[in-house]
Amino acid sequence: MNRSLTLAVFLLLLVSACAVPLTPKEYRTAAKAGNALSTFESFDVNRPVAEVAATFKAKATECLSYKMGETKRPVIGVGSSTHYYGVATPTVKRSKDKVELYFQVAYEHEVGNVPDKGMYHLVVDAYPHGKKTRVDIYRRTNAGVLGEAVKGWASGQNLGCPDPSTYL
Amino acid sequence: MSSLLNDIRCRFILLLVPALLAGCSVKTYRSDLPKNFRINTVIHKSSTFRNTGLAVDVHLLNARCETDLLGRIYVDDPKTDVGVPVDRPVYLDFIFVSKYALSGDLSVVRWQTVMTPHSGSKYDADVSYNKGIYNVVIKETRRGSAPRTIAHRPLESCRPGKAGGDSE
Repeated sequence: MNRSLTLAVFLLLLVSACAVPLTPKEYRTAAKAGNALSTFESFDVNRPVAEVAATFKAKATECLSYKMGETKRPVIGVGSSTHYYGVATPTVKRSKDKVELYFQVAYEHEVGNVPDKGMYHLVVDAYPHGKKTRVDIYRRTNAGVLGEAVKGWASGQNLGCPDPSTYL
Repeated sequence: MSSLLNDIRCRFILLLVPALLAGCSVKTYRSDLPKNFRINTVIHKSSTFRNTGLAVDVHLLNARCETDLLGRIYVDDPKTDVGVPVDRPVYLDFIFVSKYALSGDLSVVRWQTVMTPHSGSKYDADVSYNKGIYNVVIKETRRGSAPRTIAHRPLESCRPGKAGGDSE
């Protein structure tokens, strides 16, 4: 009986740790707890929220909106076949004293309950913190490059785009 | 595994490009126009098993916002000078190609922009790739004026009848 109960509790914990966050709020909670293969980091920048928001809006469109595909071409012969298997979508939401950036990826043939536009890989909040702007980054643990790019955008010191092959 | 011997696979990420990738072999860009466009490239080696290179496709853009590929510039040197058409909109496609030594697969990420080079102006495209972050900044220098950055304009910004608009 004790063994069965232990196994049931273990499975319940495992399932809860693997539950897919369906909203940015759920993703933040999961990342702060280290669940959903995600992590959290926070830092301040010497730029007003409005400037950070403008940069996020511009760079999100430029760098985080794309399709993913695969092309096969024979070494001998002609022709090629292309197959699209995913879509990446950024969302930037601006309110009076805050800007939020979400990054989601939708793959074909996903099973289970997933959010519209796909799984969350990144949620960023930027808001006033004293005379600075505080930036909270919730991201996948394997998306360090994505986090570094967002830091560059927030600080204005590096406006480059993260190579998706390094974080997906 | 036999497919690896017979196929060249190009995994790619298309940034806001609805058209199909035309495969991995494209005619070389050749132009007798005065050299007005310099590509300054700094690409850091990603890792022991991954190399990244750069190519740039040059397209003309007509009034219906249709692209016409003129050719591909294979960037092998830190400074590459070419002549691009002036006083008409062009569509530039910067292609970062990473090759994985062990698998032989290619990973491609592209950065594209519409611009209208002006006669009498010089252009510098500062291109970098470092630790998974790529950046392209195009600056225009007119005689007697300080350099100014050309804003990124996706192909989707093109409006039929006003193809390309101005370079800014």
